Amino acid sequence: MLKTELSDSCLISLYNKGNKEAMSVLIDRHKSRIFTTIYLIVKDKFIAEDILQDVFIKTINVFKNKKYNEQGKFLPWILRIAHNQAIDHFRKERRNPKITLADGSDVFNCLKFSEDFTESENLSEGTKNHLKKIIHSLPDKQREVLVMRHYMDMSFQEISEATNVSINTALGRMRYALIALRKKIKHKQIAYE
Amino acid sequence: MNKTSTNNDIIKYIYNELEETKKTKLNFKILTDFLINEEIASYLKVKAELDLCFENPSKRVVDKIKTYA
Repeated sequence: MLKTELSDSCLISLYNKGNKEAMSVLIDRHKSRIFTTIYLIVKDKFIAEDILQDVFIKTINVFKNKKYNEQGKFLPWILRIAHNQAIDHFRKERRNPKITLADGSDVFNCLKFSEDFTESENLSEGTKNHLKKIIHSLPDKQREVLVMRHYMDMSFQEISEATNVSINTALGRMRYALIALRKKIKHKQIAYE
Repeated sequence: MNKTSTNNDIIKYIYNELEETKKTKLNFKILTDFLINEEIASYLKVKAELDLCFENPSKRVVDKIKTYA
């Protein structure tokens, strides 16, 4: 059994030498962060899973073809691939809007995820779903900065470079996103009381 | 310090990106300015809630990826 304390770089090196378990450890270590990043952009679990699969297949192919650049860190690199693929999908989706129900909700939201979406936290499904809905309801640019900073762990400087805006604009968008979330979370709490 | 830069510094602060000298000043303000104290606390609460939103893909998909590897 491979020690989980091994660095990403060590695991990649082991995988390149033929150790498949190393890739398994790497996938388990980062699947949640990568999946959450994609899901919060595309807003659909099934599509997010398809994109996650594509992202890992691309990554594995890069390793297999010995084209991985050791200079960068693995997680920011794969998160950037995931983000780009999710944004590509999101843009295509906007050009071809999906079918929605009479109340405006997404058809997929009505499907029960009976299978194996495991809960990472001991948090009620309702609370978690409410939070995700709030995030999904944010304006695109605010949600983009929120996902990049909070889930992709990019610095504000990196976000400003990636989105071609000033660092103050990136900070401002993050601030508005947090204010909107705070307001909506509060509103929901009051509604419960 | 104008309001915009304070607002931006607060956002940097909660994500641990504020420069050390500004951080020291803001730490002092947190102790002396109730409004800033309250604002930062509310952002940190939202930040903690965001941490609860991490999702896991299904086992089926993870297994498919591992098989491909």
